[in-house]
Amino acid sequence: MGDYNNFIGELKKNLQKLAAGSFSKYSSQLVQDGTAFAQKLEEDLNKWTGEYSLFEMTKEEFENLIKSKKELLEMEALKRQDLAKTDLNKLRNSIVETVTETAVKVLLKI
Amino acid sequence: MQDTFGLSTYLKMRKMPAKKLNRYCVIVLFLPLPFFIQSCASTGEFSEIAYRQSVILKVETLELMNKASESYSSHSAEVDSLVRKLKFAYEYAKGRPNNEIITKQWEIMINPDRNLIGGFLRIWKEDLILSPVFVNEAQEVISNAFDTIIGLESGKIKPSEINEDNNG
Repeated sequence: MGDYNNFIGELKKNLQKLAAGSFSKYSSQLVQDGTAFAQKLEEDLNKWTGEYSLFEMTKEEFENLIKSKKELLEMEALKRQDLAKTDLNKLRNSIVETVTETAVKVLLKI
Repeated sequence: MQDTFGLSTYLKMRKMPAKKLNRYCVIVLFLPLPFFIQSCASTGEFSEIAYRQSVILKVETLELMNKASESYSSHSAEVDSLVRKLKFAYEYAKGRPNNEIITKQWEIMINPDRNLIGGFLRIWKEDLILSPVFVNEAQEVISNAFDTIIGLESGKIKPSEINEDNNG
């Protein structure tokens, strides 16, 4: 846990440096997003660090796993985006159906 | 004189008998309906083929990953075959209307420069043998990534749901 806290502290410093260098406009957003990503990975990072220290995986494999988690978060974000659209479409279909039914009943008196 | 504000139409309507007026209103109300309904279908419909394809590819991918602790060369033909199937799934997704998001997901999944199955196969090819612990961890991530595609496809509007809605 101590190592993880050090990691988060160091990460924040590095993100601030990165922001100061090339992304000054997005400084606070960059630190916030980067830290949030690392916090989501806390459990995995602790596990993978342990496995790496026991020589159970290489540095490249360790790096790949962290990056793969970022891809997974992107996939999940895309899924949420599309499901929200689908729900909206279902709602719209129901609205169209209600308009149709009401119009037939009230205006056509059927 | 030009009827810019629909004034003459309004005056005509005032003189119409109630029944005729109702019919008139129905036409005015329903005329834009097909365009509205068309705009509702922006996320596309559920495809049984795409769903089955994703499930089968998930199983095949995880099975092949089990072999990544063995030498790449003894499985290169299987890798090539899987890559072809994954590319086919991507192209199939790309060809479906209103399917941009799933297409983007397949792109992330198979791109060798990214870090899901495309990246995994690249590392296997470069390193020749991968550590069993890494393979196991990567399988978990890639399995979850497949689930986002499968979940998204199964969450799409099914033709039967449209019929159900229309039947009340």
